[in-house]
Amino acid sequence: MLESPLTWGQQDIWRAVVAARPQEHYLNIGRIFAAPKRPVTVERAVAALDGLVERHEALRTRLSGPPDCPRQRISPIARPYVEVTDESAQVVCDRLSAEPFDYWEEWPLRVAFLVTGDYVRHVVLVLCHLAADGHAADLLVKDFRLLLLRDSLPPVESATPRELAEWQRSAEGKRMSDEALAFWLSEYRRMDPMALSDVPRRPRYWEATMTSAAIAAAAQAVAARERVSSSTVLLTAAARLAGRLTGQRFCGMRVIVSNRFAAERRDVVSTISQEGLVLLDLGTPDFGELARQGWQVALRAYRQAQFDPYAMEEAVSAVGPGIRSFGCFNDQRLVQRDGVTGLDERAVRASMDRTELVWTDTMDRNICDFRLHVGGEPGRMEVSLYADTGLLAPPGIERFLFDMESTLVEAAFA
Amino acid sequence: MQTDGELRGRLADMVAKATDGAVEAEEVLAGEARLADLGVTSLGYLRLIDAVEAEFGVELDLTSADSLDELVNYLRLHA
Repeated sequence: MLESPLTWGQQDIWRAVVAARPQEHYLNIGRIFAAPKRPVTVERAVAALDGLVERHEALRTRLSGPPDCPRQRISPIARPYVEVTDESAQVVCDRLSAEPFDYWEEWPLRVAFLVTGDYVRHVVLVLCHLAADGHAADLLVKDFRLLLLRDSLPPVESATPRELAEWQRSAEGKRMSDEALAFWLSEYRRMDPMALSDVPRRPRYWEATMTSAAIAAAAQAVAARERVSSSTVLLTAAARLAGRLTGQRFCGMRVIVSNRFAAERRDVVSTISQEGLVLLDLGTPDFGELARQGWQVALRAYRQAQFDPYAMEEAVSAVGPGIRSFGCFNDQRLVQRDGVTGLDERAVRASMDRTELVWTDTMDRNICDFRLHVGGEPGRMEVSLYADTGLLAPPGIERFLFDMESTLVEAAFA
Repeated sequence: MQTDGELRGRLADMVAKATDGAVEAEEVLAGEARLADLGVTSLGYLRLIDAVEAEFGVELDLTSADSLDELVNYLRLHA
């Protein structure tokens, strides 16, 4: 049994857990994937799972110590929850994701093998966010699929969560965190104070999800024209609309950064994504110019997203009254490579009639007061806005999403 | 000391690796295009910058990695 402090990424997630308890199951990460075409028996699938757990220390990790200062405890062997069922994959994934993990007792993954007859057709993985972030979940799916086909894989060369925590406490790690803190502080000092409030509803946090083909096409068109990514275009639109709400010219929005740019970090199975800070000067009237500014600013921000989250919180909260970043932007699309699209203005505008908006969640407590998620299929984007109704009432949440769509459609045909 | 040709070839290979082959070394070497115009995404840029900094022991200014020519010039001055 080995013990170690939590990594910065784990500390970030732990802060989110504490802030949302007992409703933190929203942090669970679900993945569904098809078994290989070659028939896979349940016995074979269980052996592959054993191999996966043996391979990745993160899957053998639970918490130890007191809740106000937990540590990670790594075991040589772990037996995660497994079930065999013939239910539909999404139903199983939703069910296994519906409860928070028991961080001190339970292994950080729940698995279901979906069978038809004697063979596994799909696999459902639900991961505790303390063990994995979205990229790590995708790496685990890749490894799991390979282990269903082969008996072994080349050895893991990336750092384990324990090694990451050790590095983060080294002089080099501290230097990196201090550099990020200095960057964030300098950006905070440029921010305008934020003024935004409303009468909170019960439950306090509401989420709406817009599904739109128009926003997908428009974001890609602007991205191609301005030579930036569609992710940057969406972030820019979100920041511009956020600034209109908060009255800020210099408005800072946080973005989730994978922190896997260095070669030795690419395949890390742990939670190493953290937030970056993108501060835009919204005094730029031309959207294209603002998106180009967004690209440059985001590149810088992505490099300053590894830090001690408690030290960061202490530093930025002392900058001044009303000075704070507004919202968090998370592009979770699996396919982010932007294709070149021929854009038919009439078709795009007509498709706006088919845009759907539904209320998808509510919560009583959350660490984040304004969170935008981008997901969905390449041609049909889903944008979710989760907001504190004490900042923005439900009609404002709806309007924000529709305004994102119209802002981007107008920018595409400007 | 690498010749300009060797350095350009090495950097073009690093661009290809950073983009998982989406941008090929030959494309990078072929012209004076901005790397973004060749299809280097922000993820590709960040991987490239990290790899260049690690290999050449420099700290890159992001504006100095816009094109292959700029990168070569920057490294000649700072590496």
